[in-house]
Amino acid sequence: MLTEWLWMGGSFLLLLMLIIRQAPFGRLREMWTVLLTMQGIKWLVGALKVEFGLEAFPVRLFPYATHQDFATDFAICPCIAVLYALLVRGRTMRVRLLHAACFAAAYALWSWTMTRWTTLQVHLRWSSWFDFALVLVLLPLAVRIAEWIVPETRQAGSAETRP
Amino acid sequence: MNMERWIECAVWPLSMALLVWLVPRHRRREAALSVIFMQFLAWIFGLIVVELHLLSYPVRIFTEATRTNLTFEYCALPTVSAIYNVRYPAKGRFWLRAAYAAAFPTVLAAAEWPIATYTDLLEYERWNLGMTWLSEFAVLQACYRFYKWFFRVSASSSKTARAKRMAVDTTGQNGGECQAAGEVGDG
Repeated sequence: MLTEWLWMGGSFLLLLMLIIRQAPFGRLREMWTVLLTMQGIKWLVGALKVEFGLEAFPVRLFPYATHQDFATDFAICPCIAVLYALLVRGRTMRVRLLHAACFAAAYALWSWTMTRWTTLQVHLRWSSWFDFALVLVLLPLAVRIAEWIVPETRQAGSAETRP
Repeated sequence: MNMERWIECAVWPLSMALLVWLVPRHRRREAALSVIFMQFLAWIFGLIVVELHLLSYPVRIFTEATRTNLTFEYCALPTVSAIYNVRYPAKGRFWLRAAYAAAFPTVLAAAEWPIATYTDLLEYERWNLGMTWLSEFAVLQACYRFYKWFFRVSASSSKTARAKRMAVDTTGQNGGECQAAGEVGDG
């Protein structure tokens, strides 16, 4: 059990440190929007995955109230989305997709390691490749929705689009 | 299909219809932000109350995935919150704002009472209507505070002032968030 909580806590702290290092205080609103958007999406996706018996999470937060992986869906994935949004802001679509592929690969590797070495996650009818594909789609989607909610973040970036 | 299922199925299109009807087109973004912030609050508080055996939802969607009520927490409460924030009388007198703030949880609690009494959608274990009222008042207020901070709403603000501020923001003349963000982005 200790390994599981160290793994999850360590991953969250690492992401938090990366975000704090990357994020300027002036972009707090943009980060909140991406975080909340990703949470909303992952809540539904995570619930569907468990409901259809694709994955199980034997060790989890709120073990009575939910069977989905609350820590990943509520904190880890939204933090990854924030980090992704900070890096791709004002970039071209091609660079955005390339970053999304890198982030998705890192997430899939993290998820595979978790499945292999801990009891946090069990793949029933699921694989790390599906994780890769899912995150590859969800990251640009979450950032796109966040840009719609706060349009000035996109305008400020697109004024000087980086390659 | 029993009554509980009918109610759950009706909530989703009803919420969409209320959003379309009561949120003006030019304030859809504000409503969207209110929805996702309330989902964030409802998710964690919903899990806490079920985990502590304060409430239970015998009939619900996603029965395997969760013991919380996704329809209420993911759809109904965020919709109410969006309408609450968008329609809030920020420029009104104190009594009007107080009545407005009290009316929403009162209506929600009044709607919850027959659901808890006559259906299996909701069961109070160590909970009561007063706690429903208080918790809904608290989360609606929290969501409105966040909304105010996010969109820089103040009592003196008006549509014109907001439009002016947005125009200044987009042209980057106020040295505010956009400019700061732009500098970092360029770096």
